[in-house]
Amino acid sequence: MSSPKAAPHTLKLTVPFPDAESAQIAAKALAVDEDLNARLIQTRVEAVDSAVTVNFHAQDLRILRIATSSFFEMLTMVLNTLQTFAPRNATDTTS
Amino acid sequence: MAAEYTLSQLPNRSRRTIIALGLEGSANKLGVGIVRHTLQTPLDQHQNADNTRVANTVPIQVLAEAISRQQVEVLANIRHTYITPPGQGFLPKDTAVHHRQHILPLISQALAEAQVTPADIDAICFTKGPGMGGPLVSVAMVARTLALLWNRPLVGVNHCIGHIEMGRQITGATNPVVLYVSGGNTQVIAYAQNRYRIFGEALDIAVGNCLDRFARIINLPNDPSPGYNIEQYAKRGKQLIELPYTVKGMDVSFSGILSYIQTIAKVRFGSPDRATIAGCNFVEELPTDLTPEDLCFSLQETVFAMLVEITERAMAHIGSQEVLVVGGVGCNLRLQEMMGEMARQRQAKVFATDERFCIDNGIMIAHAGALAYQTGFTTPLKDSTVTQRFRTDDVTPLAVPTSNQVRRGSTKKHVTKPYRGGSSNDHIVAKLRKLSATKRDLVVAVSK
Repeated sequence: MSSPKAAPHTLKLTVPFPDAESAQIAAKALAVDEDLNARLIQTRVEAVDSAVTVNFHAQDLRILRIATSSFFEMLTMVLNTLQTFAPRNATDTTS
Repeated sequence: MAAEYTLSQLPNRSRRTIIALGLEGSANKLGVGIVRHTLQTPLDQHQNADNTRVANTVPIQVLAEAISRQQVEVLANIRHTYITPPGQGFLPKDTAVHHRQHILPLISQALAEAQVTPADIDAICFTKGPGMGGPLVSVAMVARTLALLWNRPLVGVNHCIGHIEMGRQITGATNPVVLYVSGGNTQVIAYAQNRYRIFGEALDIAVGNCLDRFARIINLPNDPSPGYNIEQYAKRGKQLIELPYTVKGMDVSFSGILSYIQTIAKVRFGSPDRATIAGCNFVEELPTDLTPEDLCFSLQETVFAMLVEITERAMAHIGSQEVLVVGGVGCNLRLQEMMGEMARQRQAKVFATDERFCIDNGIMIAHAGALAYQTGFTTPLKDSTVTQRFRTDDVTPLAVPTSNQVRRGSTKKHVTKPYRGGSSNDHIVAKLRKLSATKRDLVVAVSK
């Protein structure tokens, strides 16, 4: 397995969140799944203050595109969940 | 290892009641369920044998007994199905999109129906597998986010165990041979030595997959489900044609039957491609007035007879007088009827549920997860991954634990082999195979 440094293609995303707590939740939920093809791509998800940063290190552009688009799908799911069920909303919808 | 639990190991020991949320999305059904388990004898009131003091440990039998006698209430059980146009199956990617679109409104609706708030939920249960990767991970992502947001434990549930436990709960079957038949799974299961063992299974495609794909060939709608529409067509079928009957020991195979009947359907009712025409001579010998209804009828009779055969053999093996039919194909009334006929001859009983619990649903995940949670099992966040392959016999349950091991949902690989047609019981299998020929005639005769 090549080290991330040796990967020719990298992408860094910074996703701002309303607060550090929700950034933490999102980063933890997203970081659980391991890369299906760890030989070709490595993804690191971290919470930094009130943002989530993602680093992709890929061996080729095709796998980088696939990983990025599927990451955005999951990120959207987490964001929507947080927006729907953040404590203040939850009390509104279920009272 | 002591066969007892320290109360502090168990969740909410001071409470009688737990409420669990269950999220299911391993195939094209998205289900959300909320269940309430209420212990009739609170564990913290359990006393030592000498009655002197309240024990701080619970013997495993006491825990198992309390759980098996508890009250189980379905607070909400709603489902949204991804239905594709006639002639088309559901692809993992599109199914995942469907689940992501509908899961949040479905959870809100379930909470409202159950009249509970997120604060009332004790555990968040999700399907860990088996199933399609994309849909599974989409649902797991929501489960994780909610667990972190509401600060509640996750419980990863084996989909098959969910079906079995819910079926047992609804029907009251105690120690049944379970026939689990759906679009993705075909298994004959029985509980033995702390585990649900797979006695027999489909070697290639699942029985529901065979039916669904045939429905596509003859362009039956997928609404409400292809299997339901085949069942309706089969009721109008008048001629039984012979199809390959493929029981191999305790196992079954459906792919050969599917390509055989697909060839007939394409030649008679569709536009056969060149490969189909090349191998279709046998179709000429079939009755000329054969209808799609006849094909549906013949297909159902054949595959269900195979399933009844291996189920009966499993009953003979373990001496069980109960059959429980679960899974989406399990709500087919013709299958239930054929199973009933077999059971009657053995003085056995058939247990089946309706579409609310047979077809994939959220409540079964909530229920099986809550059972696991009550024995102290949770899934740490780092282990909350999903897995497309997750064998029923990889889980060490159960509601009625008989030894000191009650932890459930473990994904650890075990070396224990399920009881299958191995070398040791080949002679039994051979003997039963001879018997099975007559049995099949019997089942078919009953259907006429």
